[in-house]
Amino acid sequence: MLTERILKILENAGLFALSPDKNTKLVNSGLDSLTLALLIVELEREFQIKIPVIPLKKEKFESVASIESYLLELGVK
Amino acid sequence: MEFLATDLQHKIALRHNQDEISFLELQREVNVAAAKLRSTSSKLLELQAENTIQFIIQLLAALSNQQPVAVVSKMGIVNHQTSYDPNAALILFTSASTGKAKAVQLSQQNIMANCNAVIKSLNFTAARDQFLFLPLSYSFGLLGQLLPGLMAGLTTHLTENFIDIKTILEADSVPQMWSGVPSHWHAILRIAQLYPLAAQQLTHVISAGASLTIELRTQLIKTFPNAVIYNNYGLTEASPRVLSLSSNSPLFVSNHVGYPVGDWELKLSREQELYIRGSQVMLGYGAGEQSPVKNGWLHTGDIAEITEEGLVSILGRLDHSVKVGGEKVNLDELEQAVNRIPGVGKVALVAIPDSVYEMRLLFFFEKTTMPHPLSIEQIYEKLEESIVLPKSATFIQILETLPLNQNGKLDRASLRKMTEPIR
Repeated sequence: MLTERILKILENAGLFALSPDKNTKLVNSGLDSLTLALLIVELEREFQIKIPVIPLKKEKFESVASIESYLLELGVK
Repeated sequence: MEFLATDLQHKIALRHNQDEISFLELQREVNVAAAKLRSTSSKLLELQAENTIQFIIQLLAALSNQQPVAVVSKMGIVNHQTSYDPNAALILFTSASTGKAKAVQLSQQNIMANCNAVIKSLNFTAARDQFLFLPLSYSFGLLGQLLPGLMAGLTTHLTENFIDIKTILEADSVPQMWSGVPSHWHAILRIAQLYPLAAQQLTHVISAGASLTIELRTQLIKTFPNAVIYNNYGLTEASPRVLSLSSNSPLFVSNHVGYPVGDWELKLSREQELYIRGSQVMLGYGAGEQSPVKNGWLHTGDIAEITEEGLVSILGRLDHSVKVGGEKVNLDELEQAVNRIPGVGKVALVAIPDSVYEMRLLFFFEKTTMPHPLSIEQIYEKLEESIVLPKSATFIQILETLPLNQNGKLDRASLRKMTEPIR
């Protein structure tokens, strides 16, 4: 369920051709610094959380799997 | 040569992270740096562009010394000559997707003419401050925004990190002028719509690099209700600003690109190529590059239409170039360059329209011609070693063999069909 919500947000953020493998690097689907900013805003909105950006932990957004772990770490259920 | 407003000495000129510097302090720092530069060398100074206060001090010091300065991007891929026009003040490099960056030589007069034209046509003096994330190796960032901003007395908030967009919109006071290429505006719009009160603080929305679509123009007007939206056209060889159209015009929500700024004269060739002439035309390219300036007219390579009132529309390109996220990419040159990379086999390139990047690039690699099978990630690594790609707008597929038509030639129509699922 969490994975599906993340995938939907990634698509909304403009990423394309997302791999079914959750560990595939999102940079290959078009994640750049601009879409990362959009992704963070969309994740905050969808999950009603605050994602710390100073300092920005870019490695947390490398793949669907790492985003999922990070969201759980931030208290998303 | 005066690039700093002199009547606002105690106003903040530049802000970067926690650092800030007033116009007075900046002038002093520039004077100190200029004296140091004079004592070390009078030759061409090469600076790597960074959106930092220190970089700007060095740049202004060189300009005030009338010492030629070459500004290179962080990629640092340029191989430039050491001999330049004696009037060259600034050397910028055009986007080099295939590694063939052209060194554009600009004089102090070019730069000053551009800054004055920009300040006037984009009403810079009506803004208090600007938010600048465009790279300063890019003529739009450096000459289109930074220098006119300093001349007009704006505080410039510098960043290279797009995530600062969110932080800035969450702050109490939001910079009034923002600038970006259309792909930036796609993302910024989506973020700004979540911060409507902050979006109301913008007074100037400046777009260049590629023309805004009608849809994007409409959305920008709606999302930034107190801002004037400016659609601009320019090229580094023109220092860079040439045309501008603001949302104050009843013709803004259209495909028109803009009216000439400054002292530009325009005309069309028989093939409808846009030729431009004026005090912003570059001195020329570095040695070995053929100049597109003939008898004072800069041949832009763009096919255009001009109305009786002087309003210009760009209809396309003479060569096989497309704009990807504001960067001009020559498809033929890029495909040839990738085909020359050892180990990747045969490659075909297709560009497809895209709502975010204007165009996306799709590379099809042929597995049977690779000496050793490569994964998509390995191909990306090889591409990055050889060429500069707008990676976020680049997609790779590996096919067993590339499709051929009845004549044995590459079947691009079939490749285009394969792109339909991801459009």
